[in-house]
Amino acid sequence: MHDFEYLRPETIEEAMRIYKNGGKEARLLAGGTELVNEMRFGKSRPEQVIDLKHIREMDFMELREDGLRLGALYRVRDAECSEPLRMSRFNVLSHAAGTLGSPQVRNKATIVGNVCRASPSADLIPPLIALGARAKIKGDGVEKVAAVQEMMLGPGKTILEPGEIVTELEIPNLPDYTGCSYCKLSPRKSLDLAVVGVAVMLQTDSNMSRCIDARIVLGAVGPTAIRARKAESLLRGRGLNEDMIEEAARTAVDESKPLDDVRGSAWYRKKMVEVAVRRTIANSLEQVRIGRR
Amino acid sequence: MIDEDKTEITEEDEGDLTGALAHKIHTVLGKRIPAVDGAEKVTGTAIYTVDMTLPNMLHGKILRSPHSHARIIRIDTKRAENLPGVKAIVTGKDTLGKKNGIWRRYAELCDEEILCRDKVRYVGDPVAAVAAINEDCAEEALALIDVTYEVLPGVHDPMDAMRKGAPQVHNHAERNVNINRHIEWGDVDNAFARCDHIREDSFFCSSQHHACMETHATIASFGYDRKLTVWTSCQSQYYVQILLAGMLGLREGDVRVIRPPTGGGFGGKLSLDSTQFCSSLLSMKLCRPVKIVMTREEDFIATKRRTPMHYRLKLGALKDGTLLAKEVKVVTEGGAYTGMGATALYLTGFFSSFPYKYPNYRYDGFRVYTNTEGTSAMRGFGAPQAMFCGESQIDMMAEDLGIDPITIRRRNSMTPNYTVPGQAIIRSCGLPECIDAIEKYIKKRGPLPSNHGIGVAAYGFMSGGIFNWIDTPYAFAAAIVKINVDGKVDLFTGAVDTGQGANTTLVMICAEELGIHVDDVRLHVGDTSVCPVDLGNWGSRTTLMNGNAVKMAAADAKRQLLAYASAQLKPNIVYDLDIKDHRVHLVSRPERGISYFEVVKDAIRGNEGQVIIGRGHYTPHRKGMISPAYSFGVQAVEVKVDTDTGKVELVHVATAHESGTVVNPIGLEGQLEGAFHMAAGYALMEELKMKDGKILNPNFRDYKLFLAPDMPESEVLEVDTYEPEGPFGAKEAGEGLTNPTAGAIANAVYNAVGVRIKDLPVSPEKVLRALEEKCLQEEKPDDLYVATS
Repeated sequence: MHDFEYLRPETIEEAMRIYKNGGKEARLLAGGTELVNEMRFGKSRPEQVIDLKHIREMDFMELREDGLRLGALYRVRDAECSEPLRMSRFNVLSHAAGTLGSPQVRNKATIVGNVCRASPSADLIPPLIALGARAKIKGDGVEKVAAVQEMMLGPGKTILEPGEIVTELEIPNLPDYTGCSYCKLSPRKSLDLAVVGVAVMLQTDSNMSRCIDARIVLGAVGPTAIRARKAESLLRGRGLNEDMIEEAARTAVDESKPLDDVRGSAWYRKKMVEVAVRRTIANSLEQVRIGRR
Repeated sequence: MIDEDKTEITEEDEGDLTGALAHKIHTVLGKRIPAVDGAEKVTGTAIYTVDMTLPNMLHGKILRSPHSHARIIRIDTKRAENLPGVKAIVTGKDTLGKKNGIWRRYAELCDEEILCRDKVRYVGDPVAAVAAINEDCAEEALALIDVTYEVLPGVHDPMDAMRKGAPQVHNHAERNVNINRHIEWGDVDNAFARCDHIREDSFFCSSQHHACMETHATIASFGYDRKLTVWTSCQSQYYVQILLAGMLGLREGDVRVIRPPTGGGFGGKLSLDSTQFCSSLLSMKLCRPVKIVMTREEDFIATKRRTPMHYRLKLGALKDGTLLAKEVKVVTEGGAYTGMGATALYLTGFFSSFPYKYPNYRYDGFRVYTNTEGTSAMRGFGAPQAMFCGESQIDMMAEDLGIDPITIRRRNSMTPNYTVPGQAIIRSCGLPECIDAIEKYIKKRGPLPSNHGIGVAAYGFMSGGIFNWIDTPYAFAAAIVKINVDGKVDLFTGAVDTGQGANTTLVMICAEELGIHVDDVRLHVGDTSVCPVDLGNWGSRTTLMNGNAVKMAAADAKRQLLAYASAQLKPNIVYDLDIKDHRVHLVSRPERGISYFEVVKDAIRGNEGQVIIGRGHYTPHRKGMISPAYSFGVQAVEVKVDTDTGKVELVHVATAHESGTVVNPIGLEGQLEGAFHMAAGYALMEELKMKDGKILNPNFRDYKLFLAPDMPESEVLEVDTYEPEGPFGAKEAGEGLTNPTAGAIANAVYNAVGVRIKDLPVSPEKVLRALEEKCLQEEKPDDLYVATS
C-alpha cells in the first residue's frame, strides 16, 4: 500500500474544502469496505484519504410523515437492525441491507457508500431506485438533488464530480397499498454477491386486484441497475394474476443485459431474472397484504 | 489390551459417540478432550509463521510468469537492483539447476525448478525473487525486473495434450504423458461376458483449492556459521529439510526446519513451495533472515490443487446386483509438474474398487502434463474422485436392475479379513454395520417433501499410507517419552498437526499408556533438531503410525518405572503391574498400589539421577503396498432442489464412520464436519475457473467456499470396530470422511428431481439445464444409453 495523507474533517463544510483542494487525487472514506480493498490491491492510489466518519451531522436516520432521510454515515447494519425502519413501509431496505456481505462488512459499510460505489451487483441500489430515492449532493458552490437512478453511469461510475459529496438520501413517502421487496439470488446464504438482484415496488388498488403503479429494478444483469420499463408498463393499470406476473417476468428478461463472467453465464442470469422478478412481485404483493391488515 | 481392571471408571461418557467402547476400558481415550493447543489458537496467541518477525529480517517477493508457456530469453534485474531498499535478487542462475521432486529415486519425476531458467510452464511459475526492507519495496522491485519471453503455444487440457503434435510441456514426456498406472486382477473380459447388465458412464471431476487459512509462508535464516534455519508452514518438516538441503547443496544436518503452529494443510503443504526455496536462496546470499508470505492470489495460482480427472467407468452385474467386473479408465490433468500427483493417479485407481468386492477389476490411468498449475495431493488423494464416479454409477446400476441402493451396496460390501487381490488386506471393516445404520437413518427420516431427496454413498480409505516416496532409511514414525522427577512427561514426536487434532490425539495416547492425565504431558513437535524424524501429515497416517510410536515409547518408559515399583511392592512374580490414574498397582489386585509420583522419584534416584526415557517407532512391515489398515463408512445426505434456480440446498447429513477405537469424540466430530464442509464445497460450489491456463477467480470472493449458514445439521451414527494394527484399536478419521459426499449429493439430487449430474461441481446452472432437458425428454420415449450384453 502506498503512503497517503489521512484527513479527518468534522463538518461537511470542512470536508468539502479539503476535497476541493485534493481534487482527483483525494478519495472519500466512509465505511472503507471498498476503498481499503482497492488501495490494498493497488487499484486506487489516492494521495489523500478524507475520512468522513467523524462528521456527526451525517450520521442519522429519520422517519417522517413525508418520507425517510438517511445520512451518509448511516450504516448497512443499522438499516438491517433498526426496529423503526423494519416496522416501516421502507422495510425493504432492512431486508436488502441484511443480504449485503457479512455482519463484519455491514458493521462498517454505509448505504450511501454502496450507492456511490455504483457496483452493478450492489444490493442497496435496486431497492433505493424502486423506492424513488434521491441523493443530496454538496460540492464547491454546488447543492443539488439527483435521483439515485440518474446517478448511475456505469460500473463504478456516477455523475459525482471530484469535490462532490453525497450527504444524505431522501425517500418520498409511499402511497397506501404499496409493497416493496428485494430478491437476491446468490450461491451462498451469506457473504456473497448477487448473481441477480431484483427490487420491485408495486402499488395496487384497495382490494389488490389491479396494479396502479410498478417499478421493477434489475441488479447485476447490466452495467448499472436497470429499470425494466416494458415489464412495468405491462403491469400498470392491469389486473394482477399469475399469467400477468409471468408475462411481466418474461418481459423483464428481454430488458436485462447480462454478461458471461465467473459468477454465472448470461444464459443462467437471464433465467434467474425471470425467477427473481416473479418471486419479487409475489413478495411485494405480500407486503401490500401485510400493510392492509 | 482389555484388562480386567474396570472399576476405576468414574466419568460417564458425555459424548455422542457412545458406540465407541473406548471410555469403558480406558481412562483417557474416548473422553471428549478439548484440543491441547486450542486455547492459544482461539485467543489468537498462537504464533504462526505468518505472525513471526526476526531481528534484521528482510521481506521477499516472487516474480511469476504471466504466460502459461514461454521461453525465457533474458532476465534483466538492473533497474530493480537500483531501487533503494532492495537488498538482493535471485534468478535461475543463482540455483544449482537441479529439479525438485519427492520421488528421489526417479529422476524423470523430479521436474520442478526452484526458479525457472529456460522455460515457464504455467501462469505463476517463479522466475525471480527479491529481498527488500519491506513488502511494498519488494513488490515495487518485481515490477522493475525485465523479463523477455518468447511466448509458446500452451496446452491446457489433458485430452488436447495427448494429441499428436500438441505442444510439449516437458521434453521428456512423449504425448505429455507424465506417468501411467495399471492395476488388474481376475479376468475382466470374461467376467463382462457373464454379466446380465453392463453400464458405461463418463464423469468429470473438477479441481479444488486447499484454501488454508494460513497461506504458504517461510522465514529462512542462513548464518555465518553456514547453517540454515527455516520456519515454515508445512505438512512435513522432514521432507522440507531433506529436499531443501538437496536443492541448495547443503547437508541435511545443516538444515533445521521449525514448523510453528500451522494454519491448515489439506495436502497443499506437502510439496515444497517457492517460499521455502526463494527465502532460503535469498538468505544464503545475504546472511540475513528473509520472510516470504504468499498473497492469497499466489496461494491460489502458484501452489498445487486437487487433480481434475476424466473418468470412464464400465460396470457389470448379475441380475441380483452382484458386481462381477469393473473397468476404470482415467485421464488426469497433471498441470505443469508432478508434485505428489503420481500417487493421486495410483490411489484413484485403487480406490475405484472400494468399498466393494470386485472379483474382476482393471484400471488404466494416465497423468498428463498441461500448462496449468500443478495438481497434487488434497484430502482424500484421488479417492473423492473415485467415489463420486463409482457411487454415482452404482446407484444408476441399482436403478437399472430394480434394486434399492442400500441392497446393492450390502450385497457387494467389503467385510473383515477380505483381500483385495494383489493389493491389500483389509483387517477390521465395519462397512456392513455402517450400511445397516444408514438404512435405519433413512427410514427414520420418513417420507420427504417434494423436491427433497436423500442420496447415499459408501466409502473406504487408508489409515496410514505406505509410500516411501522420499526413500527414507528412518522409521516412518518415532517418539521419545521423557519422565521428569515431578511426574511430568515430555513427549517428542515429529508428527504434524495442521489443525486436524493430531497433537491432542498423541497426548491422549501417551497419557493413556502411562496411566497419567492429559495435562501431565508436554508435547514437543515441529522442530527437526529436537523431534525424531517423521514423514509428516498425509495419507491419514498420524493416529495409526505416530500413535503406535507414541504408545511404544510410553510403554518403554512405563516398563522402566514398573521395574522400580515391582522392587517396592514385591508382588508374587506371577502378578504384573500397571499404572492408571496416577496409581501404580497390581493388575489383579488394584487395591495394592502406590503413587505414580513416588515411583517416579524413586526410579530417578535409583537411576543415578537420570530421567526416564522411553523410545518408540513404527514402520509398516508386510502390510501390503498401500496401508496397514482401512476405515469405512456410509454417508447419507438429504438435499432440497429449487427447480426454478437449480440450486441445491443441504438439509441434513448422517455419517456412519468406523474408525476403530475413537480416541477423542470431539476430534472425530470436528474432522467429520470439516470434511463434509470441504467435500460439499467440492460437490456443489468450489471451482477454479480457467481461461488459457489462467485461473480467473483466485480470491475468496469468486472462489466460493460454503459458510456456516449453508451447512446442514450433521449426525454421527455409531459403529464399533477394533483395528488390531492401530494403537488401542484406533484408525483414521481424517481424509476418508471427504470421500463419500460428492457421490451422496449427486445421488440425492437425482432422487429429488430426477436429473443425473456427472460432472462436478453440481452447479445450479448444470442442474437447471438438466431439468430443462428432462422436460423436453419426457415428451419423447426413454432413450437412455444402456448397453446390455
